[in-house]
Amino acid sequence: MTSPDAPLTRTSVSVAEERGAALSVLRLTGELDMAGAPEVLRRVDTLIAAGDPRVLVDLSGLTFCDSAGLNAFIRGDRHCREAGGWLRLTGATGHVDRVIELSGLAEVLGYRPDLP
Amino acid sequence: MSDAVPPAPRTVVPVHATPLLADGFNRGQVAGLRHTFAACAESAGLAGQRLDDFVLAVNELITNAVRHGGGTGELGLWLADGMLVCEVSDAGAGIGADRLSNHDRPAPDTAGGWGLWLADQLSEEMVVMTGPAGTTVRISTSLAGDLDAFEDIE
Repeated sequence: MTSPDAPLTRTSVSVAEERGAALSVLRLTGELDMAGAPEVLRRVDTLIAAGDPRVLVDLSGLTFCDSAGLNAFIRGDRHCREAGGWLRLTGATGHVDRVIELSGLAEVLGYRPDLP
Repeated sequence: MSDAVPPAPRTVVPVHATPLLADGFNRGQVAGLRHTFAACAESAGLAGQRLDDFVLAVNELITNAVRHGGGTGELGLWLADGMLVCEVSDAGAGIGADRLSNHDRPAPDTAGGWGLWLADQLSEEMVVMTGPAGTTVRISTSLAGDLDAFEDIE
């Protein structure tokens, strides 16, 4: 097995942010697992603290999402709702889309511009 | 790091089967082991959605082991009778009977409970052996099978 600090073990998600008046966007790139999920939730909480509780999470750059990712979206939406907003998901492709659909999150957190 | 984990629990795979992969892991090695496992399963002939499904299922077992199973674990991957069989073991306190007997999908607003459910959904067979001395979960998928046999989202 590789040593704990080998480059291989650092693979994770990166988060880009785009703030707007109607909503803010978090664009996720890479692989979302237990290592990166706390960062996603932290970025959602940071937006909420800055007065932006309407968060659209763009998954188009994501190639992997596991249960830790699902939990981050579910908790993030709960935090947004507590602040009077919402968290929605968009852009999932491939296996990420399969997991979002299979879990039922697509139905609950799927972004519809007409009906957030 | 293998000295950090106790001897692997009893395996249900025939002992003469040579593992395609056998490795210990800890919290910092989840992504690395996931990639190693994916390459190994792909070399064995698993492809497409079946490969992605199996990799995510195994990722969930590894994640459970490091989060709830004492922080370390052991993974083994075998080829047996045209099936890829993966076992993940930990020395944690075990999984409660109520959790094991519940096969329902967690409510979409529930944080938690997704890992084992996903592992079950995304493999063909899942067997859990658990007790106060640890947990071993075995999942399997056939290498050349009928895709319709999978529970699909469509």
